[in-house]
Amino acid sequence: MNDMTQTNLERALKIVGSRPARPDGVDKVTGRALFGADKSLPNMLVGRVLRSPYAHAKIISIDTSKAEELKGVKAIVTSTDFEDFPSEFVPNGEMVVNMKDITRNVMAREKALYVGHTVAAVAATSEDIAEQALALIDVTYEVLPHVLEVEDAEKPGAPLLHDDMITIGIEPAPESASNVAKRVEFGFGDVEKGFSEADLIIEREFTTQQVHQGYIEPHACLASVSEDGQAELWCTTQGPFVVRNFCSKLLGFNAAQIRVTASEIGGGFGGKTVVYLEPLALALSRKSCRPVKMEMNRAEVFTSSGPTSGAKIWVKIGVKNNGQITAGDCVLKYQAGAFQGAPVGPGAMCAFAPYDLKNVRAVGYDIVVNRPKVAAYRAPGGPISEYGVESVIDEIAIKIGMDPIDLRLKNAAKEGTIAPYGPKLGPIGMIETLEAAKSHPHYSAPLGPNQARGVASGFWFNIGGETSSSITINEDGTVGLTLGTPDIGGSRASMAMMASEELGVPMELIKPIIGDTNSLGFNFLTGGSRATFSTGTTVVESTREAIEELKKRAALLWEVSLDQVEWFEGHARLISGDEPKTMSLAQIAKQAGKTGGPIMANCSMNVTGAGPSLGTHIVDVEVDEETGQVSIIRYTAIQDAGKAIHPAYVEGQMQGGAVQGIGWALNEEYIYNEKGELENTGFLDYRIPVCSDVPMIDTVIVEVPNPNHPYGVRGVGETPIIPPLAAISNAVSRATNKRFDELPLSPPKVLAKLMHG
Amino acid sequence: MAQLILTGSLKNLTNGIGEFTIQARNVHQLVGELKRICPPLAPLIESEGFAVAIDGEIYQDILFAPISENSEIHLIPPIGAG
Repeated sequence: MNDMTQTNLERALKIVGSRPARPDGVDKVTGRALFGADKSLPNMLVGRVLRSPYAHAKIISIDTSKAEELKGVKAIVTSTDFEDFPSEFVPNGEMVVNMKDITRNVMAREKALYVGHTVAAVAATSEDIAEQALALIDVTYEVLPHVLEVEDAEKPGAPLLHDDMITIGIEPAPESASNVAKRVEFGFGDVEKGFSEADLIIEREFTTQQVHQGYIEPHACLASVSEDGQAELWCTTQGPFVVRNFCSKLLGFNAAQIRVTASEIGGGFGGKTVVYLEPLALALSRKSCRPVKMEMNRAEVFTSSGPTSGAKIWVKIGVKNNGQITAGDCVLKYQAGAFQGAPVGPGAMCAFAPYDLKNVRAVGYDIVVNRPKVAAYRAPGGPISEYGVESVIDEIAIKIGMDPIDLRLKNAAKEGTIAPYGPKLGPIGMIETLEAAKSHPHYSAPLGPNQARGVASGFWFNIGGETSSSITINEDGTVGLTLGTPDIGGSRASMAMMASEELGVPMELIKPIIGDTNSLGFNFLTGGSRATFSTGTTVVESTREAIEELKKRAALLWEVSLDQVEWFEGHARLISGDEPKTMSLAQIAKQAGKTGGPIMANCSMNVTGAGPSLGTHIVDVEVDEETGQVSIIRYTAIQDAGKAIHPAYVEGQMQGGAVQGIGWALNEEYIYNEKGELENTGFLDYRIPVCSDVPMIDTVIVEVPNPNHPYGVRGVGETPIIPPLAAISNAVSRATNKRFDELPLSPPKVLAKLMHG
Repeated sequence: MAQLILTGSLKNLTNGIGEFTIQARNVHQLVGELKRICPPLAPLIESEGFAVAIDGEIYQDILFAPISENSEIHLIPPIGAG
């Protein structure tokens, strides 16, 4: 628990909980905001990437000589321009990464492991010349058999992506290599005994497809390395400090040599937490001594950046006739893409986490296949595993004739529940979200023909982590906030609101900015629903420190001791003496130079105490039995936010997560042909929901405060993508009286099930 | 004495033993104790490939997180970010 007073949980709040206009709003709606591809420099070159046309191939040779002779080509890089690393897991910020894999994903070395894998990059004076140069690079491949699905990849004799991959987590360790990178297991109790006590056991297999985060802004960056090796990098990212660390390791820079500035970001959702173009642009700039700008097109985003896993899931749940779950068991097999690191660990940890179980087991397998290496996507791993569990929960409710919310309430996790991954849970809002769902008018609204209602819940941990921020009191009484976590969901507004609440000055006087990597101590990235929790904690702490300094200055001017001064609504107030005396923040700031110098405060912490967030969603669907089309008729998302600093942003996160979950459930999937080529590399064929596909998503914010944050914040961005998959599948199953166990529920698949069972 | 409780695949590293009594006031000392009483577990924390849950609160990469006399400790994988 953080060392902070809890008084804010009880006191009346003026700013926190209100809905002011966003500080970045005008720039966004006028087009003034600068995104990853919006920055240019004099003498800038254009960078382009040569990508593998094969899903699996040895790289025999790369001849760049013809391309180098082309007029206008200034630099070409291949794997020889990047450091190699042994296969070992090393810390990078809060992530543990295998640099051997990262350097090979950034630039293929011995083998190309998926269609779209980077093989070489060119910097030239124009886009046309760069494209011509790519065509002149002669790569000799030896094409190898490839494997795309986990069930094929784990078979004996399957094409091996990595000859040295020995499965971790199996004792004794296997003697031969396979595509199974890791086995994990969580749980406790005796699941077999639990099943023996059950009146009903449901066991079912599920399939989910690989899906992309679908951020609108493609990856883009601008790198400039000077002759003395000082590097500037502008890029669209969720974590500029993480980018700096990756790039410095890959290219042999030290951290101080690279200054990374995060642009405005047009969506990330976890997909902008790793590096793709950034080290290429830096390498090309270092070689050419000119700035290099690189952008992915949409097809490259799909083929060469990280989507999330497709998976095979097996779930078994036993239950008494009264609804008491006696045991839960699951096996999860997640695609990792070309390198290990599928989010199967967190998937297994949270599969049964919404429930208080005595006998539980979750086993996961991380399996490499010839697809792009997966990256984080909102609640990485959670939507997949919880889709399987929540689907079986619904099937149980039907079979024992129990309301699905009542079934969940009977088994709901609460404070003191032992989570399936071991520790006891603190205060959580599972029961509160279920009760809010049950009492919501949506839950009892009448349904029309071919319509049905589905329900599902979701759990995500939320995280803290290394965080730094600073506050500056300007001489005119305005306030600057420098933050290290890029604003991907409205965090600048939330931070300004918390500082405003603490200081007691209007939010309009507070200017929050995102600092570069030279302006603050290390910040882990924006993700894991951590920014409002972690950065908010440091903002409150640094603001309180600044207030102490403001009080000291007032005490000096009044010639009283510090304990005679309190802070109240933007003013220092003398609490002794006959006459009331106050001094505004602006009055103190004006005299800062004469009373000791500028007033500022910093806070750097490894923030702990994140509180899990639980959600429950209700959806009504209508199924067209002639076409298989599923329409979302009504949708309500309910979630425990702990405390909503800016409720409109919290609602936006809940709505955005729900819509991405709707896309995952209904239409989105990577479609490969027999050669391992992705066939739907654009938004026309990879169908994310648009406004006309979804109704207004209704929201209910539940507030069960997290005692470890000064305002009770939990974090909200991850959880809302979890329930939609099962909620929609459950609704479609109820509408058709057929149990669906495969996503997406696209018209051909639904129609096939309706026709053939 | 604090209790270290292991579940799932971690028990593969301890011949199926699920509970250890630990004399440690913080995670730094916990690592030292694990090296002594259960060597296969220590690298998990040292390599920062695992987080430590102390009395239900998760500490990722914090060596001096306090452990009290009656604490319940779990080793869990670090939680990522999306």
